[in-house]
Amino acid sequence: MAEEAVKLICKTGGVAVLAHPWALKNHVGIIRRLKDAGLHGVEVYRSDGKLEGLSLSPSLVPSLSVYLSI
Amino acid sequence: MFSELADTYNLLKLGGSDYHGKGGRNESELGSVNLPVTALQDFLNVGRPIWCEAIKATMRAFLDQPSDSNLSNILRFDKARILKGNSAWSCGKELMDRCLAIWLTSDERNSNDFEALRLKLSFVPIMSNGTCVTVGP
Repeated sequence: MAEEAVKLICKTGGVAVLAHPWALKNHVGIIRRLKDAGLHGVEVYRSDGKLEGLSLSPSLVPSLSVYLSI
Repeated sequence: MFSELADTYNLLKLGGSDYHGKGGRNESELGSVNLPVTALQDFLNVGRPIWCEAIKATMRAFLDQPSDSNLSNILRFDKARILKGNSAWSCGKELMDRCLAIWLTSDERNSNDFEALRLKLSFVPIMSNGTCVTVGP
């Protein structure tokens, strides 16, 4: 589903960016897959300008959440 | 951590305010994110060629079929500025020149692709009420 969204964004002249990657359980695998689908960027800077690390425990994020923006 | 991942997969490093318009007390202001200026530059370096191609595709669609629908697809991007001070365009080329002057840098709009489109669009008249009719070259 997320790969389809990335492909659609690319096809329609958008820049596909993965938001909130720290909310994902398997962020490395998902980023790799989405990169293959055409992903251009990933959210790295938080709104306070700091670099984001893995701030949330996976146990606090039980479901997969992928946000895509253009 | 995600910075290293972005490096590994050659991805842009971006950030956002996460503004959703919900109006809650803890909601950040629209656009309130601090990014290194190099991140913005990298974003534009990737984004602008993509947008140029999208503009060409939109212009080509209008060239192939100069319908009201395809015209509105052009005008939807900053319509107020495009229409500001306009008396009437006599052809698609004048409309395209107006749009490109707003959307793109001079280097971008002087590319060969846009020049070819400009020439072809000079044969696509636009009626003063915004509707179009096609005539052959």
